[in-house]
Amino acid sequence: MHMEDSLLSPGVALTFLAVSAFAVGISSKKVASEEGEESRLPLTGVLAAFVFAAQMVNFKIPGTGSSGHFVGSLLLAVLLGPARAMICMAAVLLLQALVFGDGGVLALGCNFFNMGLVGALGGWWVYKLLAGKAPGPGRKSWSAALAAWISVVAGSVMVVVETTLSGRVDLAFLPFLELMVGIHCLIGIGEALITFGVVAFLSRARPVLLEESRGVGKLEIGLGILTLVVGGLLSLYASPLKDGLEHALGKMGWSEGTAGKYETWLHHLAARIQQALSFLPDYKWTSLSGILGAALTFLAVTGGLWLVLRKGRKKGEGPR
Amino acid sequence: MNSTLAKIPAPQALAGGRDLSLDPLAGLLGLLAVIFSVVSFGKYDLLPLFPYFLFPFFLLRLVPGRAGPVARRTLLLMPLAVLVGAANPFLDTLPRTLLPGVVLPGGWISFAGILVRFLLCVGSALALTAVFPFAELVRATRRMGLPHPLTSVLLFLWRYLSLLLEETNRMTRARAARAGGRPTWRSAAGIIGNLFLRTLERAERIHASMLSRGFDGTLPALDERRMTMEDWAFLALCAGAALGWRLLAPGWIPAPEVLS
Repeated sequence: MHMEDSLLSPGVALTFLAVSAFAVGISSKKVASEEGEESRLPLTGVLAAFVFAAQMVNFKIPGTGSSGHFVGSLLLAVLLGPARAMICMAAVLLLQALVFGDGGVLALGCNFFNMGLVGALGGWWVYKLLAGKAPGPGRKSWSAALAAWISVVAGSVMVVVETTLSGRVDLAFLPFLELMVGIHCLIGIGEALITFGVVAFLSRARPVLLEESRGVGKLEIGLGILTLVVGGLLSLYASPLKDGLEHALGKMGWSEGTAGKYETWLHHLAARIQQALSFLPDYKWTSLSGILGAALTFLAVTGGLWLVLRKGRKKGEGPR
Repeated sequence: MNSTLAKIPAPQALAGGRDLSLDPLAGLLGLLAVIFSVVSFGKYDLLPLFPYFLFPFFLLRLVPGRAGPVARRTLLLMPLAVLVGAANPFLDTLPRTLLPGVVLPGGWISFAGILVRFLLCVGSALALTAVFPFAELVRATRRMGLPHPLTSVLLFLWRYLSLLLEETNRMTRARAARAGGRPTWRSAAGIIGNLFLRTLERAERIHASMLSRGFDGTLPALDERRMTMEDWAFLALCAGAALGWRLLAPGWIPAPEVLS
């Protein structure tokens, strides 16, 4: 499920990098602000190594004859809460990108979005929704299993969206989506079974581990959604992304003639922003203005992040 | 025996260079400039990508003997890029002029572009970790402004990774010795659950012993590194060349146009 740099356009990569930086920033702030949590960082760090090690356990997927392995972001979110799970996933993905070459460096934003944000935070919301208040061990296990399956499939949808928006690959959106989602529906079964087994095992062996874990907070969720919307809108203006979108629409049979039917207020707004900001309108310079646009998007979102986190950073200034 | 574990190279075989006079932060920022420039080229821009190979080659010259493992690992991962891009030649058959007189179907040019980009991006990242010690790179990301809970977790992850991989290996080997074959999902879940409990106990032990030695949540570095004039010069050269070539190259090597 790891995205590579070679399949991404800078607009897509930077937009997702900004959103992911925001999520990691909020999780770090949350972890650092919890009572005594700073000194508990070794625990989190060693558990991040656990995810890495658990991903190496190969097992048979029943009925298919193939084997699968484990992603583990949802299990971690159920055990540690989404904030610490996201930090662990960010650390694991960074290590994989730098040391093992799994997933690109610029693609880290996309990979964290697909596996950390969707996998840990999104999956955890699904888990909470399914488990309800004060669930028994059985309900916990199947809720976690279902949430794990959904998070894997949702992550694979995001891979297709990011690849198509980048426009480096000629596969049409819908067939590519069918292919990826089909494969990941199967892979997700393995993930769900293992998550089910581990949660059932731990709720027998150490029930105290599965007690209420706190979320990331409503304010942060609101901010996260806002960043996503703003980042998405601004990046529509960045030309590499726009080209990718047009390309995807063209591939899906929405040629320029029929595109008008699908125009929404969102497209109009994006076009307005693009017009207002296109200070290098000459065709020759389109790619340059696209790159600058992507960089501007990145700066705008990270600037917002800095403003939000400024207060917390003074308090929680850590080691160098 | 667990085949996946055997395929994973020991982390130290890939990373763990030595202390160089060059600041890892300069290397990391240079890498970002190179990858950003490479990725921002158009879909059919194939030829202007090649000068960027100078960056990984230069890095690998800093520490002798690292080029082999980096090249092997990069090529081992290559099938991933091939799989995703392989459809391009079939879907995009419009001929384009790559060079005056050299005409190729657009799909082949964009497919080759994906492969060259892959070699550049993965090769450069792996080259960077092959020549600098990983902990130094993590400290460099801290100086770049990554939040300290993340960088601390990354340092612990790096420190205990081989230990936990060994533990997993022991557990799967013990299971294989008794039962044989690949584990079913039930026994895999048992292994992972037990691994979690053992990891938690180990982590609590580590935590307690660190607290007893005065750990206060911060991981102090022995020396505070600062960018010297040489580091700035290296970074300016790398980033300037990467971004400068990105802006100038399209003027000299036009993107392959559709043959009219």
